[in-house]
Amino acid sequence: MLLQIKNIETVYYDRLYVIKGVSLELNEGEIRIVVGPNGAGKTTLLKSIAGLIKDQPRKGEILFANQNIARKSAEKISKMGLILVPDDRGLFPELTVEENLKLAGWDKKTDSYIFDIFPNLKAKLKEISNYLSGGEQQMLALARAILKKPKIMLLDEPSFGLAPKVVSELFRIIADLRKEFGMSFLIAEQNVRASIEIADYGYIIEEGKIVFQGTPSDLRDSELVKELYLGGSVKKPEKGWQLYKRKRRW
Amino acid sequence: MDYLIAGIQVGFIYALVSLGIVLVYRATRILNFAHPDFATFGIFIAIDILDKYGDKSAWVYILAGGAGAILSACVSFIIYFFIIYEGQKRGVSPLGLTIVTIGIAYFFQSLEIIIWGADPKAVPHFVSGKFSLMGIELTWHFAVIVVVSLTIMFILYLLIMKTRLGIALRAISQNLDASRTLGINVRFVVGFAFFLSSLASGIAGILIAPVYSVDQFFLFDPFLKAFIGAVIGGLDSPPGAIIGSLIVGITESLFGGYVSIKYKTAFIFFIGLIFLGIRPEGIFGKEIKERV
Ligand SMILES: Nc1ncnc2c1ncn2[C@@H]1O[C@H](COP(=O)(O)OP(=O)(O)OP(=O)(O)O)[C@@H](O)[C@H]1O
Ligand SMILES: [Mg+2]
Repeated sequence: MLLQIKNIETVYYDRLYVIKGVSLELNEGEIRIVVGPNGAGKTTLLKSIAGLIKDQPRKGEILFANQNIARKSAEKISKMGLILVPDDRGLFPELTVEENLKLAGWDKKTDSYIFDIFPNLKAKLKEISNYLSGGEQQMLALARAILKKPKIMLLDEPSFGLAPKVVSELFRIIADLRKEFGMSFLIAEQNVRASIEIADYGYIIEEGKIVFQGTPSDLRDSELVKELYLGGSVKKPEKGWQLYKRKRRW
Repeated sequence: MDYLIAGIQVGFIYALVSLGIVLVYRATRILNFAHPDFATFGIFIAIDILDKYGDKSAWVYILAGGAGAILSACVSFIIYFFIIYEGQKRGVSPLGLTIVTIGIAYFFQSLEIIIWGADPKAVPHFVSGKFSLMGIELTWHFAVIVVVSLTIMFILYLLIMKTRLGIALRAISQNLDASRTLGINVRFVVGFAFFLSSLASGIAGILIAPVYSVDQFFLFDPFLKAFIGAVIGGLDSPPGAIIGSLIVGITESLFGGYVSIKYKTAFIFFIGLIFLGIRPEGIFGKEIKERV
């Protein structure tokens, strides 16, 4: 097993419990999705794994290639081969496409394969990344992550804000990457319909707990997922303090 | 005319100091109050080296000045690497760390008194004489300051815009989390910003030392003016800092010459305040937004 998460707990400000004992697994070359409503803790889960929340997860283990990476620094985790593409794409907005790629170790001569995967980027090398379209930004974020040659990619809502056509292209690319490079993916998504097509396994997270898990066909049969498919109805009203915290997150 | 030239001269000095302030601020959101003290420390060493040589040729000046500036830069790097970074890692806010730099400033001032005493030192001029350019009489000191400053600005520009280290530095100031996930060594890269920052100020201090008397605090006034220059130009913008500093230098000199030498510093602060009121992000700065 490539990644094994055992009962982790993430707490903000010492009292805001967001991840409450989550366990999940990821095998080599697998694509697994984590779906759940807004505020369920998907982003927090992925950030905790990538080492981006200070001193978190405060409980539990994250075994990556048999090493416990819980509470290790983000730099170290990235060097070991686990990369997060965050929900805001994590680009450097004022740098050009080329500079963004260079920071991930892109080499003009040897790394042209990146344009086989993302042909759009080639003509835009000198453009400021902030001026790319949403789809292009997501492609750049993925390209940058691929250049780091990770074993595992964590993608936070990669389809967010993209047109349906771009979404299906994106998931096709992800499936190809798995096939060609043998990368494993853990993907947080709201777009269940598209992501379930390429997934091997899925988890449903609600209020910081895994409430359901199974293969795509299990998920399709589950009432919970049917609710999510319909959208809207699952969105629980946020409690006052949750709303406050959310607002504070500029 | 003379006031204008004096203003340009001191404006370039402010600009070098100001670039250092901006470099560090962009990468960390910390205002480094120990900034002048790192430079002063190097200058004291430079003076010691100068004193060792009886014959003060240009080469001795360059050697002493260069050694002093590089030493300032190393001190700055070390302080970031071992003290400030540790604070950042533990989640101390930029404001908290700004206050830490005040403590570091006091430390260096005291250290300098212990090693070199409190008496101000005079640094002999490294060039003298005048020349005439298009009918304007200029000193060689002025020429050296302008040429060296422009050269340093150009080198800094190349380093920051073209090298990988420079790109990484800009990346860190734009998105810290993403830099870390890409495996950029934040500690080293920001340390490099501190290094460059103090290198520029160290050189600025050495260039200006002959017209001041050098003591522990002699760079504090230029530091404040450079800070106002950065505020006027935009704390986020290196070109803004250069232009803001030139504005400060020229205004200060003209005001001192034609209105009142006594109130020139007060006047500069007044202008700084006005800018903070009407355009807090500075002429070239982007809209101020907090980073999380
Ligand atoms: N930096 C933070 N500080 C404090 N609370 C936070 C922080 N980030 C998230 N939270 C809180 O943690 C909870 C889970 O948020 P999270 O962003 O992980 O959910 P999510 O499942 O990714 O939601 P979405 O689908 O909207 O992206 C929310 O209640 C949120 O307010
Ligand atoms: Mg999220």
